[in-house]
Formats: sequence, structure tokens, C-alpha cells
Amino acid sequence: MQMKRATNYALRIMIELSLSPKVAVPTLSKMLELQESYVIKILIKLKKAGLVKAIAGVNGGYSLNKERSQITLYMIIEAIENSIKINRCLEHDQFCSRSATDYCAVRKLYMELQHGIENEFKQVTLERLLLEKSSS
Amino acid sequence: MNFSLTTDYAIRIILYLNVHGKSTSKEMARDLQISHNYISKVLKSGKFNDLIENKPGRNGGFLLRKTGAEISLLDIMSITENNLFFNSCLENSKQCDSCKTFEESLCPLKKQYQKIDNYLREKLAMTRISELSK
Repeated sequence: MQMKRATNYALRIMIELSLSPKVAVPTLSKMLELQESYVIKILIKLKKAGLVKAIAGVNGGYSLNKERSQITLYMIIEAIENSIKINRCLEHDQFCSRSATDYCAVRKLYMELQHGIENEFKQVTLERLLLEKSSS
Repeated sequence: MNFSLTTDYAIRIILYLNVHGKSTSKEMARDLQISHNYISKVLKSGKFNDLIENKPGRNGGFLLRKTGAEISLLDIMSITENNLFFNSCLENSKQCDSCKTFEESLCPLKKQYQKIDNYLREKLAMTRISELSK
């Protein structure tokens, strides 16, 4: 169970976008040492989640679609990971091959852990992240 | 980002052995709705040797080497999960290769991951099989 590499890149992209009013794809691609097509793939996911917007034109690029204080780590992670649930039985369909969803003690613990993890990520906005960066 | 199916099954098997004592793979397959092939493959792989003993013979079977109070979920997941680190940058052998904005020691993202990783490990280490069997 580990976060995807693409999520790490997405977080990095979002941090870059929160430091400038607009960043071009080639700049991001160079900075992250990634192919432009891959950067675009990540940006499209972020755009679908309403976190970034594309600016057309010769001097185009991407910028944040919300205030830095309105974007949490949770939103960014959720935009890239297919699921941030730690176990299959916490997914929407609550699938359990033992059909024990209602009473399973392990699932109860997983729910608590899931809640703890999500809360941590929901509390941290890009704004707060950058404040911590400048104060450290 | 789910835990693996093997983790689910291993927890089930160990909970079962804790409640029922020595059991055969056939009995476990029947009661746990896991295929017999899978159970014997996993239990005979040697991965669980520290936790589960395989007694051969006519009255043989599998049994726990420790009490349920001595086995934590973290013990099980350390065997079944390839990567128990929440983010790859927390692995000692790995440099932070995707987050280059910050000095590694100052990276606020890494601090955040560390916090979550510690929280998870602590909870999983605290949770014992005996508790879950109640």
C-alpha cells in the first residue's frame, strides 16, 4: 500500500502552480524531468477535479483554479489515486468475500485508520504547506 | 492504495487459528471461503514460519507459534505487504526523487507522510489478534 508516483508529481506540480500565477507545460516537464505528455496527463486529471485551469495562447500554461487556502492535500491525492481507501472493504460497494462487512472487527479498525489518514490530509492546504516551507 | 488480498487472507487465517487451535488447510478453506490451493500455497511458502507452525502427519495441521496477544496486525502486514511505507520517500534506500522543491530534511510533505506513517504503524502494532478474536 503506497501512494502512486503520479500523485507525488501532481503534488509537486500543484506546489509549483501555487508559487507562480501561471506555469507552462515545458517548464514543468523540465523541472520534474518528465515527458511533456506525462505532465499533461497529470494536469488533465487535476483539471477534471477542478483544481487547475488551462490558459490558452502563445503565453499559455496552467494555473490554480482556486485559492491556495482552498486546496487541500486530500483533494490533490484524490484527483490522482483511483482510490485512497486502505482496504477493499472500505470501497463504495463494501465488497467482502466473507460477507462480514457489518460485524468484522478488522474492518472497524480500518475505518478508524482511514478516517485518521483522510483527516490529516484534509487539514493541510497548499497555503499551509508553503508556510511551513518558508518557516522551516 | 488498498492492502493486498493476501493481507486479508492472512489475517483471517491467523484469527481462525487463534480461535480454533490446530487446523488443517481443508478446514480453513471450508470455513473461511478461501480456496484450498491458495491456503496451502501461502502457508507452505515459508513466509509465515515465524507465526505459524506446520505439523505434518496424519493428525497434523497448522497452528500458531505465539499467542494471539503476541501477534499484531503489523507483524502480519510486515510479511504480506511489499510496501508498508505510506510514501516511497520514507524508504531508507530511496531518495526523494519526485519532490525536488524542498530540501529533503525540510520537506513539509515528507513530514506529513511521516506523521501518517507513524500513526498507521502505531495503530497496527497496538492491535493484537487476541483483541480482534473477541
